[in-house]
Amino acid sequence: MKIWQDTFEELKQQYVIRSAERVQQIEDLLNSLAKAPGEGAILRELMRHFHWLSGSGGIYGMPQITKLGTQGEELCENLLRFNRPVTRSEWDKCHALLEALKIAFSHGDEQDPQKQTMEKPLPRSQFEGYEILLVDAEQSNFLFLAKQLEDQGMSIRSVRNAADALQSCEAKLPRAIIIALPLPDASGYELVERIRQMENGQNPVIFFVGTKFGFLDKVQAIHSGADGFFQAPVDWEAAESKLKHLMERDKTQNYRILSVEDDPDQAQFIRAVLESAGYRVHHISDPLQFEEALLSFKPDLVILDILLPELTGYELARYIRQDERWATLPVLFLTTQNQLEAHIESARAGVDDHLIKPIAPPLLLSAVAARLERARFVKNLLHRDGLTHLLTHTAFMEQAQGVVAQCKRNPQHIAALVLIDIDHFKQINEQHGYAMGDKLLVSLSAIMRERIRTSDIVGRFGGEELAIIVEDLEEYDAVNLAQRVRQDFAAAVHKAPDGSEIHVTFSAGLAMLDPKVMDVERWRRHAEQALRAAKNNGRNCVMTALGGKR
Amino acid sequence: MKVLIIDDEEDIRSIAAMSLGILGGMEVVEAESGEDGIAKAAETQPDAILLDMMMPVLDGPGTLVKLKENPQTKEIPVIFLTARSMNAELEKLKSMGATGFLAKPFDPTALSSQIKRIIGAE
Repeated sequence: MKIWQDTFEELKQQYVIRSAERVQQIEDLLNSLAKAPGEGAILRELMRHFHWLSGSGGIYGMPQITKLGTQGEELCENLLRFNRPVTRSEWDKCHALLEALKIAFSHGDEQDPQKQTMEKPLPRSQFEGYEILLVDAEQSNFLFLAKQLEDQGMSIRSVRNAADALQSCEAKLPRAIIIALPLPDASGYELVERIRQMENGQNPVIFFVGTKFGFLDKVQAIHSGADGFFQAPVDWEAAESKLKHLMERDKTQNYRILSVEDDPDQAQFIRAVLESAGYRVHHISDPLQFEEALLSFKPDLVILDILLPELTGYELARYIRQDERWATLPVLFLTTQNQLEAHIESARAGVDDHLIKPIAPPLLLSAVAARLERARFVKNLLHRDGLTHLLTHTAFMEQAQGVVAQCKRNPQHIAALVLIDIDHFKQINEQHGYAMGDKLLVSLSAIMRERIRTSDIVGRFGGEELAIIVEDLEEYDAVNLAQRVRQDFAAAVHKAPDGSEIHVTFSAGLAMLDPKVMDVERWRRHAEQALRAAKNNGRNCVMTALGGKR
Repeated sequence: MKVLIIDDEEDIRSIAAMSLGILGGMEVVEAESGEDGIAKAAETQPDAILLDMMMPVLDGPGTLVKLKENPQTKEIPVIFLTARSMNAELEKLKSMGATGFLAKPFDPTALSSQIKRIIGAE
């Protein structure tokens, strides 16, 4: 918030200073009018000053000024229209307006600090506390981006040249570095090379921004170790989402890998190598268990042997590729089959990589990491909502399907669907603008991320509707979870664009899945019914499908 | 996206420019009079023009007419900044080619999204 607020405060100060002159001019004009009542030129000039106050006060967070200005403007307009001398009460009103303006301007600044201390800090995003280093000789290229990142709780360091950037990195490596080319004291590529050579220098995400990027520049940028480049004029929203995506790359260690291998020694080797890198590994030796393993283990990547009992790896790969649900699932072969025909056959089966045994652990790990990263990127593009970074409706429903199928197979498995709808969202949008509505959705999704477990499935269901699937919790506990999110959200203070503070609530409907009688549509209808009941029940509450109010 | 702001009041211009630049990520060109605005519109070819209604010499409607007469600028959407809405007047400006209206005082934190919505960029 700092960059926008600093600029805003600076402009506001100038505004208040200039306004003092205006008020003085209004006072002078009133004095002249007293000597020459009914003088049209003076009245018109007076009206212009009031008009200016009316049009500007609200912009600087001083709605009182706008109100007083409008009153003054209307007064002058009336006097001009009827072309008559000013009455006693009109004089009094003019002077009262003048006094009120003086008071409003002298108190203008005192309201703000109070407001800031009342604000309850919200979890703003999963990037809270990340440090970002901006290197820009002009100090003007990154204002928009910096504001966006600060809003999400990241802290920004800003330097003007390569020397300061290096010093800053030596003191503490930031999570990401963005460099505007050209730099005054060194080549940006050299700077990146030097950062990459530092201890842990591989970790920060590094981007270039510049006006002229030819193909050779891009190659040089990548060669130096940068993660990407953006050509000015930059599409900042795209840049921000790319940056966030890359900053998440190290956090997602919990990848699940399914290995199909009938040789126990090989299976043990694969498991040991992958587990040493932090992956979760599930192994099957019988290819007939393949589908069951795909559905229950939900792997992020599959490693197959080619020669297996009964079925071949080719067939398993083709089986995956014919099903849309696994469109983004990477499939690797790890095999002794090294003839040309085998390579051709695996390419035809849609396999992502054909690795040959015996394999060196670093090669296996880098092949796996690269495929996982690529798949995560594609999945994000396909399945995440741009605003909230939650699952899209389609992606959420796909996951819901999976949960239903799982519960049908395993009756021990239970799941609840919670639909959440922000109360009076339409009015909020109409009153405070769509940007406010968006802000509320982002804030709610941040609260949800903090409250719920990483295994829960969260999606943006519709415009103002979010949805959660909570697995392995009894109804009572699931309701409690929803209640905690509701209380957190209701307690939060949101700052509206006009400076006022608003409280917003949501209503929620919860339905447990009964796998014996429900498919995914029916489950959803139950939750929707509960949500309607919550709305009818005065909002700001959680209701269950059976109608119990909590 | 590039926006031209035509307003004689520096306080309005600078806050609008900062708001569009910092909060909206837009490129901003400023003009302090109608004449200045007409020249800058032709020269910089913005994606939208924010035009103040009340200005000395050449006022908002007068500027609009000139912008719409010039083949170089007539396609650029013009959004009026008006302190008070007088429906009859707004209708007339629409028939003269104005794309939309924004109330003054505007909300600096929402200005860029309002402009985008009016010109249909979102």
